[in-house]
Amino acid sequence: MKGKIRSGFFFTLLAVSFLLLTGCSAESGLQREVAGADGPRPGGVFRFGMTVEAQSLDPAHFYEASGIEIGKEIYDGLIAYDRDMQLVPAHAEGWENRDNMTYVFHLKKGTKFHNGREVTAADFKYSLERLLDPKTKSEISGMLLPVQGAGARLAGKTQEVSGIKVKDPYTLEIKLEKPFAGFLYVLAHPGASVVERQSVEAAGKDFGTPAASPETVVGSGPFKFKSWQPAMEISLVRNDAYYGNKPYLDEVEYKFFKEESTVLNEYRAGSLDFVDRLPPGLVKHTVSRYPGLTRRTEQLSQYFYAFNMDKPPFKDNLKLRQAISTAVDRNAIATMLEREAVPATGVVPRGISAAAGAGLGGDRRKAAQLLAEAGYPGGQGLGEIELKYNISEVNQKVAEIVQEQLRAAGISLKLVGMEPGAFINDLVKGNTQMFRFGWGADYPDPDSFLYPLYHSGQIGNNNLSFYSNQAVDDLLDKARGEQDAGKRLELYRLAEAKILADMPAVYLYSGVETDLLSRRVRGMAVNKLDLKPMDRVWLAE
Amino acid sequence: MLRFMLRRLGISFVVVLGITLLVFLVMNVIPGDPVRLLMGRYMEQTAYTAIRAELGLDQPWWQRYLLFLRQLAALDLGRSFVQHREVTSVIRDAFPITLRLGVTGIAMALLIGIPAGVLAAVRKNTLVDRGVNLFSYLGISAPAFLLGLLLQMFFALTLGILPVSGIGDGGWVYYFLPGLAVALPCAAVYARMMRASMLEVLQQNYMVAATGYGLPQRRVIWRHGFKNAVLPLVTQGGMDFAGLLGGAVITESVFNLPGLGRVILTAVLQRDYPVVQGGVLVLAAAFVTVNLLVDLFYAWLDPRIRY
Repeated sequence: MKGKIRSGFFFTLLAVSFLLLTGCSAESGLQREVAGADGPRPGGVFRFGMTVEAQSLDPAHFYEASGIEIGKEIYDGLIAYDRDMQLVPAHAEGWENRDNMTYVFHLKKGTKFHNGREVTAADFKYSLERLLDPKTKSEISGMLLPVQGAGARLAGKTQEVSGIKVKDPYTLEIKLEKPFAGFLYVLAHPGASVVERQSVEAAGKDFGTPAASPETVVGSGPFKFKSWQPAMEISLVRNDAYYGNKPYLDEVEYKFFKEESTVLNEYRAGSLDFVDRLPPGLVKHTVSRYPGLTRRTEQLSQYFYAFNMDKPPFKDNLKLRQAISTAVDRNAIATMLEREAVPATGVVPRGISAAAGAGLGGDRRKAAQLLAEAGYPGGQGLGEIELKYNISEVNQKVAEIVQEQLRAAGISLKLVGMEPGAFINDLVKGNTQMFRFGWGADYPDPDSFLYPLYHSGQIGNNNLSFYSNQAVDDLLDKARGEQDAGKRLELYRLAEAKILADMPAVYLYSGVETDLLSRRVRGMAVNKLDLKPMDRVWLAE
Repeated sequence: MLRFMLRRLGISFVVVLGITLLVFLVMNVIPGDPVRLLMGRYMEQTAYTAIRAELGLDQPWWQRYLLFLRQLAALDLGRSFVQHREVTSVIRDAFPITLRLGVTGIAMALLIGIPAGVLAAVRKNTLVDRGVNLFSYLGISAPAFLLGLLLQMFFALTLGILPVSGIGDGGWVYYFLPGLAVALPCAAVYARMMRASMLEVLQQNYMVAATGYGLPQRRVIWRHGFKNAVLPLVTQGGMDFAGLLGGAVITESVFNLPGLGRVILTAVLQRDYPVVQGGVLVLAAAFVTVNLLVDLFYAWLDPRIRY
């Protein structure tokens, strides 16, 4: 509610500011078109504004978006994504994968860390094992658990990871416990980047924090670390010795803002080239105010209301779950969110889903019929259903509109907005009936949604619905072992269809991100994982 | 005087320690697991267990509190769960910003509030008095967020003479707008207090006598009236200054100043226990110090007050 009041103020302010600005000439100056592009112009400082502060520049702590965004420019790993999200070599020149279990990587020779030392297979072994060292306290170490011996290392039972072997300085072998076709994607995550041992050890516990000396932030990526003003700014400079595409920009300054209106005011004052992820509620206004300067990207993310499949009233009552899904009108939600949302039809966002989704809902009559079949005609005997969510402006708005839609179908929903800490506690303990959850892809593959959220082996991890279906488990396991891409996709299609038939959640929408660019920005692209690679970006005069 | 000081210092020490215990208990009672919050959606159980053990969170709260005290004795506040660096490093970055904002804010508040109040009292029931009164009402009732944004839009965007936000190279120019934003509500209060207190003083016999001696009006007001009228403001100003050290969170956010208030608020939301502990400790210490200084200042201003 607080957020609502605040945005109310904001609009009053906008009105005031419009009055103040009438007749100001700076605006018309901005209208001037930049003359035709004669190809990329090197040089310049790119000022990148973001509203979430980066927490760490240690790849082991690349669990949050801002750290990843900046870190991916400093560090790189064996494999990377190209602009079309295809896996391409980074430090690895090529790789062999015979059975989705043993991967052999052949490293490029002569690639260098920022301090001039050559990158070898031993560095990769060190970096990956470091992630699994319990002393590192890596939030993302879980992604390497498919590697043989990773679990034992993380539990502190061993000193080395048996599945990672240096064959020679330019050959690295990684063995998995079980086949996992998506494993290459894991290695493309910026968290799996190579770090330089001496620098890491020199910085000690301070590695990757603003307290460490700047020389210790050593990667092998297109940009080098320059400075860090905590909670204010991280700045990077071009790595002229980069083995890949050398960036055009001299420097990138990532600037952090706590208040959304402040970042927009800085943009207006001309001190930013890019505003990352406009806050919902300000998008419509910003798009109309700066025509042609905003960019809208569909995200590989899903926003949904999950059911607790282990507790009444949803346990063993498919009809009730279907009734709710049918009553919810996804289109109305997307409209309410100013179309900053794509109505969801399935478990996996449409960008990478192969399955034919469920309907978009909003069918009151059918919902009433399903509710009667569920044993609660007209909602009688059902009582109030608790919907838990972490408090935010968007979550509150969505919860209210869904409450309204369900009331019309005879289902009464009790909205329980919670502080994030308390909310996660309840999710993990299964102290839920219906709860909001969001999931973004870690890699552009259906596996990134289906496996962590719905494999029964993930109960206790991210399968917070306590969903368990042997047939789905089998399909997901089989897909991880399948070599043929087409066949794999077919297996995921089948698995998704089965999950949808069980309806463990009401899928509401896929997120949309809208960014704001200055007139001089060229070559900027947002990839499907919401990352903005800076190596091809340049600034016009 | 010395005995008074020593006693006050002793009490302050106990108070500050008491506050750390209280904060420790509160942080442990409120639901929310730091490691869960940290890992967000990466809820891998093996990693969770490893991090929890590594942070010592598997130990009972009283053991962790004892460890905190033991570290504190060595001036070690521990390491942030989220930022992974030492809490002392976090505070070293944040506290100077907060301190500057507080100093700028309180100085501006006094510079605006006192003359306005004196003027209103001397020109009682004139247009000037009504103007000051209106300013006070506006200043007291304007929300910090709105005030901050309005100042930002007018001075930084429309006039373009001051920076929008941030601390740039750390110069005072960056603290002007945020300082003004926190100063105006305080100044409004001071103007009212000063007016009331000045009106009272103006009616005192010594003031009438001073005027009767034929001293110039200006000298009577500032030399004889002001010094007596300003006393209540010292207490209020001291409290406000201490309050600004931890409470200017909204202004710090609007002007993007990563001060201590903001750091602690974020840390509470993230359940970053060490940062909350260390931050509150510093704030509490600053608070009692400021109060002590105010008391001493008071004694200096009014020779009748002796401890």
